[in-house]
Amino acid sequence: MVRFKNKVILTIPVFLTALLISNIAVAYPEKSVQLTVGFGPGGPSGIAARFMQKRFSAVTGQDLVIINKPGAGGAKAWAQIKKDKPDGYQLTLLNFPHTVLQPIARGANAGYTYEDIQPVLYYTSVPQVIAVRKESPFKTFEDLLMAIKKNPGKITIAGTGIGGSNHSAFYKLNTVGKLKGAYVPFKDTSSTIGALKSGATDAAWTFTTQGVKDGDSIRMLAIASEKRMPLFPDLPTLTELGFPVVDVASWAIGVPPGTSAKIREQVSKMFQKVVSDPSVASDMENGGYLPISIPYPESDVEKARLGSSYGAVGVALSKKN
Amino acid sequence: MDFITYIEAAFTPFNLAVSLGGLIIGIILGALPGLSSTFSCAVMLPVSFAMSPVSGLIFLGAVYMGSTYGGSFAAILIKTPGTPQSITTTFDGFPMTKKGLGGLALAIACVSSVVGGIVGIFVFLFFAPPLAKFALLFGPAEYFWLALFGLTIIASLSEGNLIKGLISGFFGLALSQIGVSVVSGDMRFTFESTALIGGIPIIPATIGLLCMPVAIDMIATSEKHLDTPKISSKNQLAEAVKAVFSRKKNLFRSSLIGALIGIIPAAGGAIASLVAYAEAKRGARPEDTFGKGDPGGIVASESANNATVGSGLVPTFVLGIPGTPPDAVILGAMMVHGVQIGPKLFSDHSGVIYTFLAGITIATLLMLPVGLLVGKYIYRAVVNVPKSYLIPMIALMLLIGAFAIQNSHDDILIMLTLGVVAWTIGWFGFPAPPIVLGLLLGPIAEQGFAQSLMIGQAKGSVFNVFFSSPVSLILITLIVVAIALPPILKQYSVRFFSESKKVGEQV
Repeated sequence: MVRFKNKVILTIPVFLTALLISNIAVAYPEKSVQLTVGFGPGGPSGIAARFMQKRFSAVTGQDLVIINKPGAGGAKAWAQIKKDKPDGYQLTLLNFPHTVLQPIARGANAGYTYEDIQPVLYYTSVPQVIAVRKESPFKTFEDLLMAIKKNPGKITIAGTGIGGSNHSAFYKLNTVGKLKGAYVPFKDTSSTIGALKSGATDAAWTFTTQGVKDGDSIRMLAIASEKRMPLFPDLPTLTELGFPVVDVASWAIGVPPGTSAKIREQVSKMFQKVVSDPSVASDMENGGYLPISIPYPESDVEKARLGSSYGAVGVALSKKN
Repeated sequence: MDFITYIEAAFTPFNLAVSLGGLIIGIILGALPGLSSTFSCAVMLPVSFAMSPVSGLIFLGAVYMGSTYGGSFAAILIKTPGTPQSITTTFDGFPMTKKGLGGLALAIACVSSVVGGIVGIFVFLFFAPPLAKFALLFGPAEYFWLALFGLTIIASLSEGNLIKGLISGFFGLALSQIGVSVVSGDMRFTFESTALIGGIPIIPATIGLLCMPVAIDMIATSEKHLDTPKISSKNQLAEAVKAVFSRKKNLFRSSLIGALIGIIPAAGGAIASLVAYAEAKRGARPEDTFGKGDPGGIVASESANNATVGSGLVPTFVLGIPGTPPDAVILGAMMVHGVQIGPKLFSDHSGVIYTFLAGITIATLLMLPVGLLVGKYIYRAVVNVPKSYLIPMIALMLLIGAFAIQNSHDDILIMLTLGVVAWTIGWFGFPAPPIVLGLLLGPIAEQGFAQSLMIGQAKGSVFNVFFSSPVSLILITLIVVAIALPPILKQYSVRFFSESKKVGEQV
């Protein structure tokens, strides 16, 4: 009897402590969370953000409010981060390698530095692909390769922007393969694909998401990922073809600089719970995205790795101009 | 055709209410002098954000249609065109009012607007899907020529003083250079300010340049905004229908002219009604009395300007280049709703597009009962609204509209700055619409030119890139015609061109 009483008395503080801890854990988020996206709602970044919206409400009982703030290739939104409150409620979607390359190319005019970029969870990515239009005489990557080798500087390759991920993939393939293609920059992915379809350029660097959207009018020749994608089992990687080029654009949830380690961990865990749901993962895979998961604090290591690997490319690209 | 199923989708009670509400609001705003269709759509933009994409678009389409017709009220009754599209309506509308036929003139304007509106929508239905396939042929060189073609509109926007119009146009082109350069990756003219790194955003700039000066003017003038007209409340539908349909040739020619001009980037209703009126006058029968109260003048002007509403959506949806200035606002609404434009729209988002078209078809048909029965009362109500209520509401809506497109406070600043600039230079006779045109088409022309150069250099012949595709050659021909035509038109219509100098001021 006494022993039992003691047990009960002992249990109470343990129970209370457990309750307290669990309470702290569920206390975030206690109101809706803002996620600023530096692009319009219909593009790859807008879609990447919206994958989480439904599941977020189910998991947390709160809303994920997505604010589209397009402009300057995402820089409008990223320039805002340092003014946000570091309380875990004002988050920004971060694009890589954009956030590495822009400050290098634009300097003081970029509006932000790589130090302002603080990822807490890398959650999805899209590999880049080199593609031609359906009517193109290039049926395989070898066809295109032979044409570039035969006509150095004459085969035009479209891509989105200067110093962006498409430009970086173009540069890497040129360097690795000792090739000389002609890069033609366009303002967004849909203009790049438009130019390719019209026959204005011979080929284009773009993303796997476009392979899903425009599969009926373009032909992907090779993918710049480490291994083949389940969605496109017949699409060879550049590495298999003898050109070790890996260039994958990725997205992370970002917090403002000065956010405490505790809040970073909370945000990271919360979003990991949201994106690890099978329905979110299958939505991403069917859209041509490749789900990944690099939570805080490993996200800091990944940020540094991307910073140094793309940093060299960025410097080379801005020197060329 | 599947259009029937989309009509069903558009026929929900909510969408019907949205059409009706948008139409009435459009008629009210269009009836106020100086408040153009661009203005009306911009003011109502924030309201559309609260709706689903389809309902929001139907609402804006109805506002656009209603304001185009609403402009004829003041044009007919007090010789003050409510919108620039209605300037030519004053030529015969006001003389009719003087003869005591104001009510009939209004009914004729209503019937002509409905017919013109429907023709415009049909032009869209039959031309847009094949044009979307045609648009697949558009590469950088074609976009460059198309943008140049659009820029030739500056000439017609600045009838009266071409030099000042061109200066405005070049100012717009210069503004369009701010921000990241797509082809070089450089930051241009941003002065390390984060407000400018995204460039000058088109919707806030349009609201600032075209709508703010009007709002400032309303505050700056102390007079009552409209005179009270005298109209008989007799219903003259039968007589009006007879008057309109006894001029079938005029009616359909004017509707088609309107529809075709609507397809030209950034041309719009004012130019359409002007050309239709000139054509109607040229084809006049001996018994016609154009300029002295001939119903044919109203038929030409009102059917043409309403026809641009539907057809202007062709380049807007297919190429992402607004066919008329209000379409720039509709384009902004589509961006906010995440509907991506381009040739793929007709396969990916065909539900949205066709339901939207069905919705504005319903709104156009509703214009007949609404315009004839309630129109006169709406107009009387508009006359009696005190300015001190109207202006704060308008100002608030313009601010929200500028902010909400990109959720950016910088955009409000840009809108206010450009508004004050446009108002100030307006005093010196520099028109604002060419600035918007330059801002809109500048980047398309620049990128198309630079990309074509890069492709040409790689291929070894710059000439071939610019001058070899059939689409390019068609566009070049159109540019030559567009530059050569106005002086020719001028020769046979000198008289009324001089009356319509103001056409470029508030498109």
